[in-house]
Amino acid sequence: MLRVTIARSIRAMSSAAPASAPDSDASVRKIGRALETYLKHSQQHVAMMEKHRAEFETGKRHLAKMMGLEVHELDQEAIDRAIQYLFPSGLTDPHARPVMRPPDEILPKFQRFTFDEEGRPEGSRFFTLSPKIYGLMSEIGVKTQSVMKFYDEHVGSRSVNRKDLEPANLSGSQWITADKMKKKLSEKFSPELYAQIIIAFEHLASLPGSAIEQNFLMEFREPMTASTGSKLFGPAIPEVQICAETNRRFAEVTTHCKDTRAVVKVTDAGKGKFNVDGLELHDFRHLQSREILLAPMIISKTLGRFDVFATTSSISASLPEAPNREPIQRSGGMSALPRAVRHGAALCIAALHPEATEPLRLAGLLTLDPRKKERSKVNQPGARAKWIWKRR
Amino acid sequence: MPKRKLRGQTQLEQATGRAEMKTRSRTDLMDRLAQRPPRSEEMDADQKWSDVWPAARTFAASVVPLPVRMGSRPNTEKRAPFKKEGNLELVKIPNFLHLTPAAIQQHCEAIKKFCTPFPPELLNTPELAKTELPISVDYNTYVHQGTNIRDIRSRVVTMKVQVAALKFSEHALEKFARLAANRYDETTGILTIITDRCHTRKQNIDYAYYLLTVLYHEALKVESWEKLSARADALKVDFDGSTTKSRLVEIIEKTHVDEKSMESFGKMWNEYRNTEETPEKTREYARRAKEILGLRKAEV
Amino acid sequence: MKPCAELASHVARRVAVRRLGGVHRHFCTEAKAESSLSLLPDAGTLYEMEMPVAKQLNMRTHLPSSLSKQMGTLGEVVTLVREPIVEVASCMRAVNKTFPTLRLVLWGPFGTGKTVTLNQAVHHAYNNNWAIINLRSAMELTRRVKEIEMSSFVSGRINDPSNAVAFLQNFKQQNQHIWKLLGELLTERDYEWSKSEKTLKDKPITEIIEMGISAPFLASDCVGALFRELRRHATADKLEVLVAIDDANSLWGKTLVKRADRTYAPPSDLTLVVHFRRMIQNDWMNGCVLMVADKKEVADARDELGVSRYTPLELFGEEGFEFIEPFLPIETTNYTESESNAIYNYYVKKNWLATEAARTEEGRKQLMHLSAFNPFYYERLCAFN
Repeated sequence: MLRVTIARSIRAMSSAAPASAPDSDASVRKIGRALETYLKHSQQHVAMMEKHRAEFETGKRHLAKMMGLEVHELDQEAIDRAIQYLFPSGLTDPHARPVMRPPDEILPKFQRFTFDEEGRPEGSRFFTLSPKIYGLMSEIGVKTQSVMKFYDEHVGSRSVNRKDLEPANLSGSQWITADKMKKKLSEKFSPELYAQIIIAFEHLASLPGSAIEQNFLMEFREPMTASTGSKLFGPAIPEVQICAETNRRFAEVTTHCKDTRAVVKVTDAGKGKFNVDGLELHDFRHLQSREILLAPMIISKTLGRFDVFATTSSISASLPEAPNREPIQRSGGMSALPRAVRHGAALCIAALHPEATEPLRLAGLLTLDPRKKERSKVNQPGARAKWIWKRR
Repeated sequence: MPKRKLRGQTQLEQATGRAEMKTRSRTDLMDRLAQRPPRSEEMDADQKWSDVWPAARTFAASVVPLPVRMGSRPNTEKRAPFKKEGNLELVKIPNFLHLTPAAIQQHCEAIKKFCTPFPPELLNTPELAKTELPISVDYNTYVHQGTNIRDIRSRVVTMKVQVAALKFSEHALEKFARLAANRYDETTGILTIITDRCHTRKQNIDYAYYLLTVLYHEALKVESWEKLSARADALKVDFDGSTTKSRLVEIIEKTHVDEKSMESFGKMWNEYRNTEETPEKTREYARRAKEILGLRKAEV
Repeated sequence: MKPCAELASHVARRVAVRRLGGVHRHFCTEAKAESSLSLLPDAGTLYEMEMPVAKQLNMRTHLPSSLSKQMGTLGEVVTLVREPIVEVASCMRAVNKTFPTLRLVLWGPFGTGKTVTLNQAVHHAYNNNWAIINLRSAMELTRRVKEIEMSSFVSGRINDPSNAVAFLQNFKQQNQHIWKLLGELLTERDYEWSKSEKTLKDKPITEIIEMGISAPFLASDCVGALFRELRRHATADKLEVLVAIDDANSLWGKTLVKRADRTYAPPSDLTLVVHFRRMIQNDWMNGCVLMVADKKEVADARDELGVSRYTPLELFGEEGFEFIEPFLPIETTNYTESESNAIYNYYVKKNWLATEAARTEEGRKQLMHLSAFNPFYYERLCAFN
């Protein structure tokens, strides 16, 4: 809002100023008021920040005293820990929990303009209303010129690398979206302007010799798969550890499938042995179970190399209702239990045998299956099923 | 009737000049703040916090001198979480402001005079607990976020007894094992009694001690019919006197296997028959059986 | 993977059967030399049972169903010589007329070849001209009883004519190789089966068998008499006897036979069960009793996930275990890698593994591991590849 009013008044000024500046004081006053407002807000913001900073500092000293620490020991991590201790909130959203952070981090930024001594804004593009985007556009124009010139000068000559005379290699990436561009330039602009920018970029990228501007172009591009990312859903690939006794590498991970929790430990340089709750592979009488259990090894082509040791438990039965009764052992059946073990084993194999990570990921074995049994509803026989309706 | 004066009464008194006209600024918060700024702003950083906040209490923004903020808002870059003043979220969550480390230490110091020192012998040698303190009673206490101080699980009591300390005779121990059934773990020699049938923990502890007393005295009793117990009634099978042994003796006379293998076979047999059977134990059985049947030569 | 040159050594080879003296053997009175038994091939090699022999020994019904189907498809009975059968053979070599019957119990996880080993032992006994008493499954005596008859010989016993006749027929078929010898063995005393039927003293014992087959209501008692005579003649060193009982622990299991008061009869009330138990007792010489301890007696067939124990004491129970002691447990295990390779090479040679994927190195490994080295699963997996 503030910026718009300033811009409007400045626009008024830019058309009126040359004519009326020498003889009349009115337009100068007009400019002055706009600036005054801006300066007033700026000063207010500085004062407010100053107050918040002081408040934070005293708060920090109070907190240190409460927790029995010295102030200099109380870095941001210690503050977070102390707040978590004093205000234990069970809210699942981390943004919703209480925080105590320096005001410079947590309060919104105040956008500042740069002015010279006479109160004029620096840079002539200020008056275009979108100085950054026009700046980028002119930069693209300059680069386009230089690329064309470079190509004309060096085409056919052997003084430069042949690759430099080709168009830039943009495979596997795309132009960043308008929103990201706005964030990157910290400036708003219209969709038309964005379209113009993309056209200019496309033109530059299509030119032979634009390979020399590869780095500049890549700044405004993102990988095609950026949205999914390389992050795994579910537990991460564990660290490789070394057993002190046998001196063999191993990895351990905890995962689950449906109601079955599995703690899986995979040891390298083994015989392909399985031990799932004391059961060996041949105790799984269904081929489906054995196929599931061996899937990570088949995909990573490491049959007979890894030993798998797994213990499983039922998640929902982990709290016994009656202490005198044995808890019911209800960990999964012929599909869910092997699947829980499979996910753990795949993660461990990805850690022990990193070449297999990509095939395992593509096979979907590194992704957690988050599906759970849907809770049954009150007054219904199941999650969705209804009692049979009957006309009396 | 309330103790204070009614409004009409006060108005009347004010109109007649008998009572003082009191003006309070309700509308302007800044005015009121000017009269009395929040307590937290006047606090000294070196103060004793447990004096300010001695007991559990709902969060009060004017008392807590920490600039905490809370609340999830969209577009966090432009909007910070709400400040503490008038923030209901901070009031809703529990706080441990009365349980700061300093306060806890202060409490501990205060109740120290009621405590006796932990036995130093046990600190040095924890194994002593097994012989000197054969009974241990475990229970859990539960704390909730809410105001409820009761939890049905807190009534459950687990009592563990080192049975060796009861100094049973062989006969009494066998009877005890039969009575206690699966509560008695033979390998560790520990009796575990879990009681949860009464409503309070005290009753359950009493009941556990009662059970232990009954078990002890019943185990010591010798009934008249116990003399009638036959070989088949024993808890464990014994190699001596078994049909297997008599048959083996016949065979051994023919195969001329030495007597020592018979002894070792008997030892293995007793373990095989009286403990849980595993494939590994069966393999051991096969090795011994081969030895005693004199089949080792035949294999060559 | 074995090189191609070695593949030939794994090809099934026929066992040279050294037929010994045959009929005249029972006349030699001196202790039999150990080498007189025909030898098995080395462990880890495949050997083929000749088809007529397999037919005589009734392998089609005695082998596990999947293997007998494979036998029909491939037209030959080829099995692998593994550690347990080598051990059984060595124990059979130790049998002599001074030594009480040796009792062997085959035990091991599901599908590891207990029944196959038993049948290999039967074949081995055939090669050495032993008398063979082979019961397909003791469970048939307790659970698959079609018709019952109260015994006239001992009150309270329950006869099972159909199973008894089936057993006698099977006995006759399996012992054709020594039928002449059996014809020369004579009965000890008069047997009076009923008012009209009798077998007199000093008649060949084959007459008892014929009597049982022709008169089902006498068959159960005939089985007892036959066993009695066989035990007597074996003790007198006239012949050697192999008693091979599959699922032998069912002799001490539960029955589905109902008595008149509608309660289930204990197995000790069944005549055939009593006769077989009597055969297992080691009060006679010159014989070998080979039993299989199988979990099917105790396991719930509908429980798909449970893993029950397969150890002898668990399966025979206290009573049965004390009855069969002293015995020698012989464990059957899963394949080793070389054993599974031998079978793989055989299947490849027979074109039983037809697909390209199965014939690759990766395919070989996958078959091996997916079957968890278990012989039964291996066969099943190869059957649809």
